[in-house]
Amino acid sequence: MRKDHQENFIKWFFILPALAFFFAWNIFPLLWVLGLSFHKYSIMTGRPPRFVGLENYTRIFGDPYFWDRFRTTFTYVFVAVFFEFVIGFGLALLFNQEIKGKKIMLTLMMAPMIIAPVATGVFFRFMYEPTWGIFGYFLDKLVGLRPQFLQDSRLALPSVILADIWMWSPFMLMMTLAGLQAVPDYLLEAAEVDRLSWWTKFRHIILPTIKPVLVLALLLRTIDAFRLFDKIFVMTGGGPGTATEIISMSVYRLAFLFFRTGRGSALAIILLVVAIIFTNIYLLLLRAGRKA
Amino acid sequence: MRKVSCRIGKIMVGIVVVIALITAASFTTATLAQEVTLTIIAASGWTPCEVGKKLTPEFTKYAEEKLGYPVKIVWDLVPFANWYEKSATALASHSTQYDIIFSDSQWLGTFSWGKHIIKLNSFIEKDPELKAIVEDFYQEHRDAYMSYPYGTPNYWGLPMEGDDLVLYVRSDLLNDSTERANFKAKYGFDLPRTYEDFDALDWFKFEKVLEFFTRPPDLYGTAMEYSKEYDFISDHVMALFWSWGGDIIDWETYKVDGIMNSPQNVEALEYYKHLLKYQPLGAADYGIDQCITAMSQGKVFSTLTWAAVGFPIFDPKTSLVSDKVLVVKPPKGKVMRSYCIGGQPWVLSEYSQHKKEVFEFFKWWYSKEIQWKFAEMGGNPVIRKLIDSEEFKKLNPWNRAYVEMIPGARDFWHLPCYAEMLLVQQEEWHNYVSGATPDAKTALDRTASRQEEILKDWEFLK
Repeated sequence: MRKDHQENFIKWFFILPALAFFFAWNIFPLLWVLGLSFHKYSIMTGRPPRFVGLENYTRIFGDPYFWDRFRTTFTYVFVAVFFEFVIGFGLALLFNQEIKGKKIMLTLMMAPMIIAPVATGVFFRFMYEPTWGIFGYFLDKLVGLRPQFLQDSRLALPSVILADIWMWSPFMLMMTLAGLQAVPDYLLEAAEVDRLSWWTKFRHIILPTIKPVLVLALLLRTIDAFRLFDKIFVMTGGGPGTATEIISMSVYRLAFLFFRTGRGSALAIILLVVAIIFTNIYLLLLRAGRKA
Repeated sequence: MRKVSCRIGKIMVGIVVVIALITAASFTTATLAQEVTLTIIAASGWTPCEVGKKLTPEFTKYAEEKLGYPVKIVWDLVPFANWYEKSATALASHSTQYDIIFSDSQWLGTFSWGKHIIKLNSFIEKDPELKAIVEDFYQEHRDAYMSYPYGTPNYWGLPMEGDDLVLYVRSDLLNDSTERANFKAKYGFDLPRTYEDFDALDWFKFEKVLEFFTRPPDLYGTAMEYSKEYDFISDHVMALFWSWGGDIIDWETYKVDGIMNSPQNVEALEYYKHLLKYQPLGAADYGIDQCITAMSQGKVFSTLTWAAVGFPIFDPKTSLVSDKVLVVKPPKGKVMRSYCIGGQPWVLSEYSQHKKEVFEFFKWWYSKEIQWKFAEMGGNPVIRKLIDSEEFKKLNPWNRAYVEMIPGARDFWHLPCYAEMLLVQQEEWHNYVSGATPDAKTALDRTASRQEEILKDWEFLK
């Protein structure tokens, strides 16, 4: 009895500091933000917060500009993550073979991922520059065109997405390759013995095995793409006009430029809920796959 | 036992006396060696701030003579993009970190609304020296750099750097006899050549000059600010609104609809977009830096930008045209010539613990000697006894245009919701310029509607 008591004490002794830290740094600020989201409050005005119920939320949902930014954000996230997945997956299948110079090529492939997003944004901004940028130069030589990638409202979003694909496809490659290399050899050998076609082998052996890794990679990329800020901020500042204005920029502007603390908090909570929904969708997919 | 207690008591008294003596001595030393540090937050890479940083060590010596102890000035120069955010956050958190905030004029509303900065009226009234300084400023400068509400005698800041929009043109091209002959043959009037010629010029004649010098890909007519960043497109478009006879708001009622989207403003915005055809590719994203670079590299015949940023154009180390540029007044609009005022005030933080020293610093800064040094190093001073002099107008190539553009120059709203109001028009006007919004009327209708929403939310508009 005394031993149990002692063990319990030791367990709590080790768990409590982590719990306290978690509460202080995650739970408490989250609750604080949630509370603020029901108040009209600006940190700059010096006036006390005024309870307004759901007004901040109704104002956000009733604002067509908010939906416009949401549409841009979703377009950005889905297009970027889709192409990163396809390119990363294709490259992973390639690098899963024994090819000459594989290690060097893999190392080079990973380079974009380790560059700071701000630096990537600046590089691409320079490369997209219409008068002396490298893209414009080659297009001019090849087809006599000098597109204004970041100044034309139709080209700006695809151009920014391209920079993201360049940067993050290696992440998909890395995750998928790790999954592919974890496929048990005996299964592949058995498939060889049974003379299964490549497609059958891929569909019934490789894909089910690497599915958890793929779901995790997609989940991480989606959440990361959803909270993207820095790269777009330096490339376009949300422009031209509002062509690349994504929701995280609205949160930044509301909270730190307009100092609308209450409404900024409400928008942050909405973003959190969206991220939770995404996470659950992916986890449901994963569970459904396992059951199947 | 009693003897022991007595001894302990004596020792205790001794310790207390020693501690008291040490404390008193350290206080005396501290008073004798008092040194105050004033911290100024400002924008890095911005000429007046960099010049100010070089000049202010002189104040330490001045303070020692005037106050009897040295006052050190420390400049915290932050990147331009973080300048507002850092200044506002420091004030909102009631931080004593900064004594002086180098602010943009439009932030006066936000800062004064929350009582984060000191209202200066009573200090000015009490101090004849300070009062004389303030009376020596142009009314336009008092309105723009000192007042909230805009244009009222409620003073919250003092002008640090004066500025307005001026036009930089290539004098070598204007004086070239072949160019002059070709221009006359094509358009039937002479190329403007002198400051006075440009003074008489309107936008429609100037457009002919731009057209004439547009020879892509080596030379374009002009470079102007169209970028969505900060207030770049707004400065220029609003200048055209005013010069076309329009306005941005009813300053009494805060009504925007019917004023922002007036026919004059629609025409002015259309005209501003039309001018893109005389500018390099990518000009729809140009801000101050790009304009200066295009001019310095000889890519454009002219640029319409601030007097405060002209220094690199005349620096042979950075400019290919350093000896070939004339600075003139920008053209007249359809109705008048009224452009945006630039420049920045500085304000005194409510949370500063050295207010007395700050006022001494201000008085030192506005002395004729320091203002002249400031001008020599590339800054734009504001005291009229200096800037109205012929000597000053000849000191830097942009000085004459800077001073002569002050009368009639205007500023944005100084409202606490300034940042929100500004972003709306930056987005809507840039959407129009980049082709996302089909016409100027729609862009201005949307601007008016969104700005009225903001003004209602802040309870300015009923």
